[in-house]
Amino acid sequence: MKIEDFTDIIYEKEENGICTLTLNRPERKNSLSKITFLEIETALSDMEEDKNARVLIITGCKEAKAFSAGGYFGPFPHISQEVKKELDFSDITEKRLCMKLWDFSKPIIAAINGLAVGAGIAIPLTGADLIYLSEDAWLAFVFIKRAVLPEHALSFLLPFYIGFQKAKEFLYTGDRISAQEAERLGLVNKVLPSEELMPYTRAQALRLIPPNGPSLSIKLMKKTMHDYFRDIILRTSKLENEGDKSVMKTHDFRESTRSFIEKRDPKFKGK
Amino acid sequence: MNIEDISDIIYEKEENGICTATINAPERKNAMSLVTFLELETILEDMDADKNAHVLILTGSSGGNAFSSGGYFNLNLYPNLPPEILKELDLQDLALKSLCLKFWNFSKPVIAAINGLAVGAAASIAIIGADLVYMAEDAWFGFYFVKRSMMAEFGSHFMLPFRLGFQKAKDLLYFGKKITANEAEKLGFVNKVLSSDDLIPYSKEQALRLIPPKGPSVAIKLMKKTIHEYFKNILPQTLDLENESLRSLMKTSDFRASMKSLITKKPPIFKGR
Repeated sequence: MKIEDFTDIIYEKEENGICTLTLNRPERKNSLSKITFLEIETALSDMEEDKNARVLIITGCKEAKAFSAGGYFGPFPHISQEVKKELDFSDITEKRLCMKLWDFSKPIIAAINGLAVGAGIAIPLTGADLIYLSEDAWLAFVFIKRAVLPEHALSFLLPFYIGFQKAKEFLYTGDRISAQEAERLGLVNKVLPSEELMPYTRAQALRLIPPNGPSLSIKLMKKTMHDYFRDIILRTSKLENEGDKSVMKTHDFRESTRSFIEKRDPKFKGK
Repeated sequence: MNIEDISDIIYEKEENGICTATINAPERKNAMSLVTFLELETILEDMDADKNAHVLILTGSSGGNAFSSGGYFNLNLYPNLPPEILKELDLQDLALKSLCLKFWNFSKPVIAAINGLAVGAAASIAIIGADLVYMAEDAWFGFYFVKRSMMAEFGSHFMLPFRLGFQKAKDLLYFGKKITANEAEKLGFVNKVLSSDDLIPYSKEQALRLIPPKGPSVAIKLMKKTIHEYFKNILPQTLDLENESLRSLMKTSDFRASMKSLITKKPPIFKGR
């Protein structure tokens, strides 16, 4: 995939070193398809190769009133053979993107401008170094509502961030987390009024870029902090993929999908 | 041990899939002996083998006026036990490695409903063994190991720093701190603090959210398995170290001094050996 092929994201590069990736599928609340994930991977590869690209800001387009509604499982668009070859349909939990984010050498800031659920919050929590949240945004680990496992190694990272009890509460129930609660739990760095979200994010980004920030030491700090966890994250993502493959064969998974389409509460059977 | 042999715990199974283990030794504030720990293991095995048993709620009897006051180390207890039960007890396993790993590998969700004080091993079991912890507003945790010249067990030396960071974990363990329900909630190892009257109804309501038709129990089981997987190597290693250290601590003059002070009710004078 090439930068010119992007349909789901807007990717902008400024002279000051800030790059911005805006999720831009307002008609589906910026939900993420296999194509979107590949576009994010492609933007990351582009930045790695460009020494003038210093910090990545990920946000959602205004019109969507969302950061991202998570995984998109609607009809698949027509795609070229070359792009199709780059997709791995057996990688249900997007392990490849997860590792690419974990190994990315430059800082990432997530500016969460609205709801962020499922994969929409998994990506910032694994991939972003700093997370800023607008005060009307909220999070939810909705995986359980679809009777699937969390992804992006959240099975490891979330207990690491907030302890087993809180992590299990959110993963087992899928309950909504307000911006204020997310800040209290230490999941995000700062909650801001929505009109201050982008200006503040950009100001923080500039602090990480020369002349304000010593980008080489920040790069090595990030590398050193991430090093020990690489094997754990790889292993956890693999387990999540295996777990999803087996739950996707259950009655409960089919029931949750049906109830989602029919907009009613699911009736689970435990098999 | 068989289910019928259980005497320190009331074990109830409901048709809706909720099982409740109520620690019930009121004369010693629900303190747990090696026999009580074996009873807990027996309950976990029974639930693992029963596909209609979905969620375990662990609580303390109201008669005991406590969740549990921790480990009960009265050696006079053991000569009176039936030999087949005595055979199952491992007097060397001070860190409760066997029970801890059984909880860690248990495939179903565990909810601790902490209805009163939870001291020593009781705090460790709730925090490490349970998936969700609910607590009555007047309940509290006592990390009192250091007061007995001992150290914590149940993998706490890894799990507490993992949760709290090194500084806060060491503060609790080095100073043998008492932590109120509200402090525990702020520290993040309690999910919710409730009035005493609401504790059990709320715990049951949450339990039902994890059981079909409301909860997809296969997905929850695999989530738990995946969340626990990485720690399956770290926990036994920590438990072995705890066992080694606990055994050597029991031989110290400071341990004897702290035991003596329990009886004489005078503060112990430690010598550092």
